[in-house]
Amino acid sequence: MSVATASRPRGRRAGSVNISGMENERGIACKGLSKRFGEVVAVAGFDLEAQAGQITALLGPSGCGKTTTLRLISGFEQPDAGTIRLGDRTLNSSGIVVPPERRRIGLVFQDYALFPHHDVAGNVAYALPEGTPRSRVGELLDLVGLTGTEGRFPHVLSGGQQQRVALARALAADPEAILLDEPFSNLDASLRDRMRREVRQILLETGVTSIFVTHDQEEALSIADRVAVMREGRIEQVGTPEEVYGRPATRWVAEFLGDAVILPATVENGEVDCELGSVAQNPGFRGPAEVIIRPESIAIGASPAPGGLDSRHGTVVARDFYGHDQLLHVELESGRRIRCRRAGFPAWHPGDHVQVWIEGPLTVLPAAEAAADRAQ
Amino acid sequence: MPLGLAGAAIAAAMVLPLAYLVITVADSADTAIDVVATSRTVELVIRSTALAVAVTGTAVLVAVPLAWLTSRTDLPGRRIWAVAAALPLVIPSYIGAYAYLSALGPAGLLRDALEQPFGVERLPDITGFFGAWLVLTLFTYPLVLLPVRSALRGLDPQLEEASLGLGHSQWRTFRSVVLPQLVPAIGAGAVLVALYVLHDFGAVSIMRFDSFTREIYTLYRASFDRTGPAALALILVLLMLVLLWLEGRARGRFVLHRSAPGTKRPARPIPLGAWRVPSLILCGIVCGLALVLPAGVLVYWSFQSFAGSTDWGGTLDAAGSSLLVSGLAATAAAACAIPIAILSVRFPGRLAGLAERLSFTGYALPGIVVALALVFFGTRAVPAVYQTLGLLVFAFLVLFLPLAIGSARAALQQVSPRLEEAARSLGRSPLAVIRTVTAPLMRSGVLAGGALVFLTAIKELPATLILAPIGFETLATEIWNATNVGFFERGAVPSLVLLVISAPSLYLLMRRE
Repeated sequence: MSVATASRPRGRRAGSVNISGMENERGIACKGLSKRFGEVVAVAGFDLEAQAGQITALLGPSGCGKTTTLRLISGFEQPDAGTIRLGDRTLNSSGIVVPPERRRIGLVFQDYALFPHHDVAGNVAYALPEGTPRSRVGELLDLVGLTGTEGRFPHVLSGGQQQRVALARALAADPEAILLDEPFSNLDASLRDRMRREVRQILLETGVTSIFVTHDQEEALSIADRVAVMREGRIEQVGTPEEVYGRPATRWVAEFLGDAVILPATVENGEVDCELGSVAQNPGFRGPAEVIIRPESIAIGASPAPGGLDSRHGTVVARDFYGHDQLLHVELESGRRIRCRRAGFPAWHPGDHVQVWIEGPLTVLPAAEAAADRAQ
Repeated sequence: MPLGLAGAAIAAAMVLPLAYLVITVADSADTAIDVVATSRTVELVIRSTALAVAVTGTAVLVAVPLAWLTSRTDLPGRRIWAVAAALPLVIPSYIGAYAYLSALGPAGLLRDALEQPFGVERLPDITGFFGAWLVLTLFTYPLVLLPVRSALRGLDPQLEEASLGLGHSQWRTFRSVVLPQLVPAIGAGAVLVALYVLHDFGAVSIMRFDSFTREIYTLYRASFDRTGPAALALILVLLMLVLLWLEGRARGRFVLHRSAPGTKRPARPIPLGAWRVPSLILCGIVCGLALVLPAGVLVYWSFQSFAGSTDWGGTLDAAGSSLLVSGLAATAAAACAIPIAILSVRFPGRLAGLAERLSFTGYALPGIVVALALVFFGTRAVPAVYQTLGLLVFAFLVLFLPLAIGSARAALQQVSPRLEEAARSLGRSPLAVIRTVTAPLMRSGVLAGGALVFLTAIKELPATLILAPIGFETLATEIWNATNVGFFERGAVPSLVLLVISAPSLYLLMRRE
């Protein structure tokens, strides 16, 4: 053991075998992070608070600076400006740079980065803080469901197994936070769903603060407690998965997170009026606006909407049938076409005259702001 | 940062011989100018350049057809020819020269054989330019053959098929499609050949061709004044630098042409048809001259020496010395290669680049130049090291460290930096990461590099001649001594032993291709 390793700061749980505790009350706070590589601005004014014990997804298109942000937090890159804190410890600020090995932040890489010269037990044991009993390796492998693979080498493991080893190894170092870089992108589709659930379960069980980077909206929405949507080096919106999906803060977030129907509207007296009818909602301003509606929030029926909801006439002009659901293209009286996603049955057909109405959450943006967002 | 310090120290040590050479010459600049500013120097430059150009040209002419025949055609016994054509690379030029001189020279086997029946007393003299050119061509053409062959394997056969499909003949296709794509490989190999010729001391000396290296050695032996040989050595270094500069410029342009390696589908062998017999004859002549003749001569002399008085003890001692000094050099080179490789691959800044480039100084320095510089260093600056084994090992380190670095670098480039980052995020300091992750994963490359240094060092002649402590004879110096005094049978057994020991180097080289 080298001197540097021996002098590694100890957490309260170092050496203990407790993995279920929620005693890690430490979140990650980034303020005003900026990083440029030559002419390229990778991160610009990035603010994020990842709550202790929660899973935060950093979601954005490729090239938006997600991975750079992760490398800043883990200490492999130094920010040009801004601060990073983990609990009450400052990791980066002017004059302070904590090296990666002292941050107590675990990493799970996209390609897992398992040591090819160590077997599974060796990989996990490598990360154990000094003085931890070797039996901890077995406990951790148990936790990730890999009991019995101790003597195997990484190259004979499947992708899913390698990822579990990487996770066990990261947890073995008793980190206060774990960062995962596109952790599921190397897995095939059938395995991915299962691994997402399992990894989420493990992370929640250990109570470690986690941030994972992904460009996959579904992934972010399905496993994160909170989703931070990132665009061009900064955070565009942070919220629960339901919030960012159902009430996107900007038109860009709406379109990045899924299909969106966008209609011109007017706000008057607490009523939002658009081509799909009037909805009682007060967005806090008056005048011309734009509404953003998810296609599955648009209902369709043979007769007017129940419960006094305002509805309008339309004609089905095309239909994409996917089995579990169907996407209907409906032409409104104005000639505008909208998309509406419904369960697979009952079936609708082109030519059907229908009533359409809004039945879910909608986002209302002032027309000017929406235009500015579009111009970006 | 201990890694940086280690790298800086190694790089500085590698530059020491060159620096000392410059200092020596600068010290007595007047004498140096007197020695150098003569028509003799101009003559030397012309001779050495002419030899380099002639050998390089012929090597390319021999190697390209052989590479094509052994990789792309239905030549009978293609695989055997492929190995046989590369084998001459393991024969050091001085052994080749020794074999040729002892076979075809004025007191050689051929004359002996012809004397009795035909009364031939004199054969045309093969020493001089002709001998040096012949021997160097025969033992350096594989340096072109190997890269060209691997380039041929990397070509996309679809391009050729497209050309043939356009109605172009096989020959026109080769000329207009294949050959242009081979230019980078031919260029790379040609530079190696030219460097080899300028470096070479053994073959030119045995063939009594007055090139730079031989002249430097003669001057060094003849007088106590070291300024003359030092000044000449410096000019030779300049000549090498010009060559390397040309290479660097050319390489910049070549890169654009380089096609992506790896083929989707192996190319169909091209039927030789009526050209089959001439092709076989060509392969036969080249392999006969470069492999069978020298090997036959060595075996013949070995039997002669068994019949006479073989100095088995001497040969055994020499083999032991060779193993010892090469082993030490290999170990030192492998150890020094690790920090340099890590610096240049993982911290590719300006300083790391400088350290790496300085460590490659030996690449541009002929063995005799390094040896000479270290003699000056030893006799004047640090007399304690002069005439020690350590100085010889250091000379080998300067000369062959680039081989070890290349191999270590290649291994490290295969290691994902994510592994090291993972280790650091798990709480290990940078030095601990090198110890527990980087170094173990580089091991195979470092070992291969060390082996390559070993196999190259064991064949080294001029530095050994000049720097070996008195009475310390290696296989290489034994062969040299035997050839010099004309006792050809004495050099045969050491030569065979040396060839057997160094044969695996070909395997290592071919694996890297």
